[in-house]
Amino acid sequence: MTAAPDSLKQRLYETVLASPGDREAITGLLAGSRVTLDYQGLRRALSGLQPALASTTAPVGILANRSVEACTCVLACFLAGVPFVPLNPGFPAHRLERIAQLAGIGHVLHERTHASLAGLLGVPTTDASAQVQQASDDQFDTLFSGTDTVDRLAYQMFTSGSTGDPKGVPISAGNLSAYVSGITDLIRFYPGERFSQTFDLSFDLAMHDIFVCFASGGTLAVATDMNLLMPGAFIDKERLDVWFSVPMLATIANRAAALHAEKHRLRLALFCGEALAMDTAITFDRAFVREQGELWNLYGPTEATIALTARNIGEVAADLSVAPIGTPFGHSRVALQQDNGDVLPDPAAGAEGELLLGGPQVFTGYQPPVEKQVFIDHQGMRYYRSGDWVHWDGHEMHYVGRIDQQVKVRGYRIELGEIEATFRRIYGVEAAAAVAVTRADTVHICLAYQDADEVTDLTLLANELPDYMLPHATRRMDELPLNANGKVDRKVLAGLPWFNES
Amino acid sequence: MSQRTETICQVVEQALKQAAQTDTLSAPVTADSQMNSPREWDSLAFVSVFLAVSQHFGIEVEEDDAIHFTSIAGINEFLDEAL
Repeated sequence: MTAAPDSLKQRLYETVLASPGDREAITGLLAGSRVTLDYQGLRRALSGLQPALASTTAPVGILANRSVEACTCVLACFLAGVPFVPLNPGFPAHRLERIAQLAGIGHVLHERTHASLAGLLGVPTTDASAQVQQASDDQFDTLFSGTDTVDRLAYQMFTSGSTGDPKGVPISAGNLSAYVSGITDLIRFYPGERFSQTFDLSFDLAMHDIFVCFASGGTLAVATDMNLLMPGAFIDKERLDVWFSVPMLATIANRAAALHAEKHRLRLALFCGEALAMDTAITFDRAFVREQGELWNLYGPTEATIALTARNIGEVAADLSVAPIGTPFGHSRVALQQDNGDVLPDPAAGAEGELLLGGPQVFTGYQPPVEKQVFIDHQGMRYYRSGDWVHWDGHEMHYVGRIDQQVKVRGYRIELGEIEATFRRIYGVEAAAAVAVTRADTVHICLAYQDADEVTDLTLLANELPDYMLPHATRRMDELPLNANGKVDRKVLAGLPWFNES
Repeated sequence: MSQRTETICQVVEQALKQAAQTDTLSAPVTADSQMNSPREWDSLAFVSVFLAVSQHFGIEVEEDDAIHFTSIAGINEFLDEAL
């Protein structure tokens, strides 16, 4: 194992230790009540959580979301060198049990309110709310000193898998270090700035919120559900400087932009997780970002650690409808693979192909392993096949679409095949096919199934799939429509009257 | 149902139809309605409801008032204070 010379661990340790004790570190819900911890309070909280991690070598589940507990547990695990697995308390218990099993979780840290859910996971549990609330000694400097290694597991995320089982993506300390160095070299973040935390913990973009903020000596403002419904009010009330969210939150904020005149504005807005429409970006920029501020579009799958290409959209041509995804930052590399199999690390202007991702942010493979080959080796570089089809215009990349059945809802990746497989298994229908239909700025999952009988109760499906994966509309058909190749014709399905059209 | 509750339901129903670009909702808006029920009352439609109700009743709203706008009952209570 090699030690990382400029490791994230060292940078976090030094920043958290050296930040003034009275500077605000984190503000958000703790055991359901709004609290603010300054840096001394943060060091105490981390000291309070450390004993629960001292005896653990197996990954620790963090059953918490958008809270002081969630963020401090992530930080404590990382600093203690213990791998963690975010467990979204909003997911069905059945799915959490499966994730805990697949990840080999040996201990669960949980928000107090989720004690009984934690108990279902069959491993020892710790009430993280209590550890943070009762923490009184600041032993941060001794408890968390020591070096880190680059190839140890930092965290494991679970995403939708087309076979019907969640797919585990292990990210190493080296992957995460490479991301944080890369993004903070590209974009400046300043000590004392106030950062948003809008992402669910089970979404890897939340790792940006936590690690970039604390590596910069910033203040993290954790959004409540209500804050996410009124993003403009959140920006104003928390005097935010740095914003990071899925584009959907910009759409929501823009609808209330008229209420935001004369209010506090951001220095920096970052978006990632799904395609960013230029009109959404421009409206958000005018209403919520300072005149000298910046707005960036980031791109990257969980497998390549948070994001690995970026574009400052300040100078983007006004005639584009979707923001470009830009070029790689840090030490990341990209290439295109064309239809004929050719790999182009240096494509000519106008080339299109599947985007291949290489460099220190790319993971080493799913855990447990999957059958599908997701890597391709070319000229000494190992690339991850992103499944995204892009256009290279000679200067930068533009997202064109997916090459498979993956769709995004509120930034969450969904394999339509997982919904279909789960639906077929639960209801025993002959065949099922799901499509994504966009209406009124929202992606809706619509599922058609072939069976003699109508499925009327979707409760069983809701017991297994997170709510963002549940179909908005279902339709029984005598036969699913097929195309000339004998495959389900998804274009025909997408064109069916799923809603009561106006 | 009181006259005002009935009016709120109508205003909310209209706002939801407009936001979702639909003629009929998956379920009618009643005194018991809240966010996600009917399901067209989602995070994108939330602001539409907030703005439509305040406009209809001619009240100045602050973004902080939004917390009351997640259910018909909540809107009713808010209007008790505001009107």
